Amino acid sequence: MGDIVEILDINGEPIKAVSPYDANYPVALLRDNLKRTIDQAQNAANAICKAVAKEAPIVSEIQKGMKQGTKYVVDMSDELIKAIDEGTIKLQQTKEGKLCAQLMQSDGKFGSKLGIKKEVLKGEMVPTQITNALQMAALQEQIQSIAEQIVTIDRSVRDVLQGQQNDRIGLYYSGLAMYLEAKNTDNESLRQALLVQALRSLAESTFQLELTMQSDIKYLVDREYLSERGKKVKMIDERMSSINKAFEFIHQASLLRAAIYCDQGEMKAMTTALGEYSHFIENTVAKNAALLAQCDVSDTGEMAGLWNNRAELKLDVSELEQKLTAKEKVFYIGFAEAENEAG
Amino acid sequence: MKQAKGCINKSCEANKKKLKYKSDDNFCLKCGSSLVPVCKKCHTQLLENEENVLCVRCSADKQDQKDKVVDGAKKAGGAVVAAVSLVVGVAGAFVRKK
Ligand SMILES: [Zn+2]
Ligand SMILES: [Zn+2]
Repeated sequence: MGDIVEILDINGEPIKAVSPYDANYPVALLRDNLKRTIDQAQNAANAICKAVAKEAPIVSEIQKGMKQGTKYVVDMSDELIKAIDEGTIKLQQTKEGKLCAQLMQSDGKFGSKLGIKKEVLKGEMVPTQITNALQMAALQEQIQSIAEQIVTIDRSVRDVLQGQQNDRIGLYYSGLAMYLEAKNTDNESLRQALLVQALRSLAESTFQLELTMQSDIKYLVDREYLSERGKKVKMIDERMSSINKAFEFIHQASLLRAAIYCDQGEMKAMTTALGEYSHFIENTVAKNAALLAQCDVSDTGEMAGLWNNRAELKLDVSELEQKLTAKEKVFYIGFAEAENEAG
Repeated sequence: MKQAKGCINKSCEANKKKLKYKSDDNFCLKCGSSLVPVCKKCHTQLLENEENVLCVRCSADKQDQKDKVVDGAKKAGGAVVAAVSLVVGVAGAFVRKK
């Protein structure tokens, strides 16, 4: 049953299982993977909070004593809890890939870096994975917002009825098949090769479908159908059906790519894939929505009409992108998560 | 011709009945929503200051109908031409027989 993905509602509760060949699959898989990544990130953040709480008091105590020439005996764990509570502890990955914690001192500056022993961190994560996890924890808000925007887009795209297939859509299915194969293989190098192939297939499918959609839109914008004697409406309808179909599969392929990257822990690549999709929505869908509303026989032109809604669609990944590409990877940890874990 | 206006509030009676307002009307009398220019035939929303009173698809349909009328007339004309040539052909055969 490894291929079946659960669809989660807005609270993360499963609604029903989805087959990979269901149109719901990409969006369900992406939500599932995002949720799992955030859960993992939270666990990692909790583990790090505990680890820091265990180790840091001694080091900071020594530090403080050295600086002031006198060794004060203070209840550091209380101070530490306060520090964490106020967000005055930060975690950082060094160039060597080691994880360090820094406490903010009374003068508002951060003290020297305190190493965190690997053993105190639960699980078998390497520093890079921890950094990624922490990054995810810090990006929860952006990711949640993106997930919600995607659900809105998903609803809009799949309002349209299914039609016939073409080879560009075939590329989507072969990408999907390779992904499923990758999931079912134990051979790590074969798995990686299949994933690369799957991602390539999906990217190619997206690219081809975007070209098709753009040329279909251009046909309508340039009113090329006017030269068809007595068949103008037929030509418009054909192009609109092609446009709706292409949009549907561009959507599916984009989300599936993002879901695979997310599954691989490659958040930057995931954001890039979503960024490309966002660009497409803005430049191809939203910009032409007014014209397409007039051409689409299934669009009634109501306030909540299909293309009127699509004109409003947007997928804002800029904030996530910005945070992910920030050079310095510093994470501020709050106490709330550790409290949840304890309670 | 001036564009018709319509209410695009989905839950409004005026929208369900595809009621058309005049181009200088601004608000729906049934629900008070702002009116927008709509296609005279199918009620699809049009862009403001657009020349057309029909949406892209409806005006294409209108031209298709026109094409069919013109083509129908041409077909009728074509049939006459064929009949004439048949006569000529018969005449030609006639001549050869001579
Ligand atoms: Zn109304
Ligand atoms: Zn119309």
